[in-house]
Amino acid sequence: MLNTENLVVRFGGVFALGGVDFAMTKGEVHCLVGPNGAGKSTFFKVVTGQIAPTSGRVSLGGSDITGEGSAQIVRRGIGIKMQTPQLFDDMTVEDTIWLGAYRGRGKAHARRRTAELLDELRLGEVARAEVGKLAHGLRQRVEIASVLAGDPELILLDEPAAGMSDADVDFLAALILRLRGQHSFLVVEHDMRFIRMIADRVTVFHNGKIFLEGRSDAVLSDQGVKDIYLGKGKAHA
Amino acid sequence: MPQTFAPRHAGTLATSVLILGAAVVLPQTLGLFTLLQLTVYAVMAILALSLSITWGLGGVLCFGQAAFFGLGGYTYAVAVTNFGESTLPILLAVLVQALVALCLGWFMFMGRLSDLYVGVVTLCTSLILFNFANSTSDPWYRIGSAALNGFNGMPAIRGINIPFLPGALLSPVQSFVLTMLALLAVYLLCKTIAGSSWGRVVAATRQNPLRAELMGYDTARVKLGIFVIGSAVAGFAGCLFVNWNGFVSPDVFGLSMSAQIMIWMIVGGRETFVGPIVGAFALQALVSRLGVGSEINANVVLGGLLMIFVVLVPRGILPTVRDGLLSLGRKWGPGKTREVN
Repeated sequence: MLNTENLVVRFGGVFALGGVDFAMTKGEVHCLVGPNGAGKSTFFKVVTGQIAPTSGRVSLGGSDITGEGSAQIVRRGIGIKMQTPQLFDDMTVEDTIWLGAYRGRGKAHARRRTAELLDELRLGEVARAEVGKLAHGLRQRVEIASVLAGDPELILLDEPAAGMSDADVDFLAALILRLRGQHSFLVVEHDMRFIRMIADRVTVFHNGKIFLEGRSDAVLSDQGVKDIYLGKGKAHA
Repeated sequence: MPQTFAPRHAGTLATSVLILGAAVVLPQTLGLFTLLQLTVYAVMAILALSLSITWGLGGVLCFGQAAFFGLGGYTYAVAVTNFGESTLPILLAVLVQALVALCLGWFMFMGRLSDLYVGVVTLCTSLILFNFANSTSDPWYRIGSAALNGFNGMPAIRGINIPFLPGALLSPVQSFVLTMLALLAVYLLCKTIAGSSWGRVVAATRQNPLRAELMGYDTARVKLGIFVIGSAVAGFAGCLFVNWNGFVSPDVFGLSMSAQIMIWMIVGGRETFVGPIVGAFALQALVSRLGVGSEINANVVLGGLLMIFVVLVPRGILPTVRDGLLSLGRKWGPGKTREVN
């Protein structure tokens, strides 16, 4: 579904990504992990059209999307949630979700989808509240709702569990597991408990390259991966 | 900061009735001189609303709104001098400005200029037009039978007539009524845009362009659209100004003109559409009063007011008063209060 071939990103003389070949299949929940500076956020930004790669190719369902802007990529059926919630602080929760559902589908669809998502993400009580006045966990949930509102085939989530309580993380994990049949998920995350709950496959980034990829239980129990997270990764570089 | 551009029908109705009432009642009660003054205040209120569309609603900080105002005035002046009738010139004053804004905005927004550079480009456009208009004294600078006359300006411009009846020129009182109706129409246009689905997309683009892009909206086109509409309304205001003044000169492109529009908005409150109208009327009345005495420079007073408002009342008069009333209502009211416009 989503593929990259020999993806290279260079900032001056520093390689943020050093030739990444990545593939994920339709319907899977795929998590990207790695310590800070491993290259996963740069990879996320390239795939979401926020930065152009120095070289290499990104394709979605066989179509080349390399270098396309975020709006174009979203219109191809990708939903994007950023690490820091990107929301309209002066708008209400329901208006925010409505905007996610409205593009290209009209008012009637947007109204119906907004009502569904307010219910599904348990946001009904704060539907009329201004987004800027909500707690962080709720803001994360509103952003996820606005992403789901566009009914994307593939959803890219950058650290969706960051700053959430355990209860919120459990809720989000249950939501992703419930939706995995309808959407594919690519998730950048540090929270290992959350990853264990949701991931089909895990890719470990290290020094701008893919260090290991496989089923989540196998990858997360790998000694090399543990060493990377504990700062012993130089031996594997 | 609440989303104050959402339509509130009661407030819209009250404002509309007030403007319409003024258009009907004031000609019966006020003298001609006062009516003439109120006419130009209303013209400037339309100009303030044009920036309210571009900046207040769309978030596009246009430092050169006077460029479109002035071009609207010149377009009307040139066209009405050539045609001898005002119907088509009024349309041209609007359409030409929309076209100019489309061309300028295309380069700015499709070129992904930052907000700061959009401000710089629009300001420079206004100053270029100011200098160009000043340098058109040579008789060679004429369009048809209309000579531009450089810094001397174009005198004795025909006023507006009843559509397609060149002999039926509007009297000053009729011009006042027309201008007030135009103000009402522009106000309702603003409210309609803000209350529409597209208006929500515009507000979203203003608040967080990245999230709007991540929802798949083409924010460059959204900004371009709102810039064109705001500029066309400024052109319309320019046309009404020339109808009132019977004269147009390069001063309409001046820096002080662009600055004044912003001050009206900031003082009145740029989060609402009524705020800029209030700001335009109140500050022009103040400047007129100061002008009578001539001991105090009106521009110094306006500058001082701007500083006071930016520091002490950054949201402007109307939103501050409204929020004050709301908090009083919440404190002493019997139950839930609703927002007022």
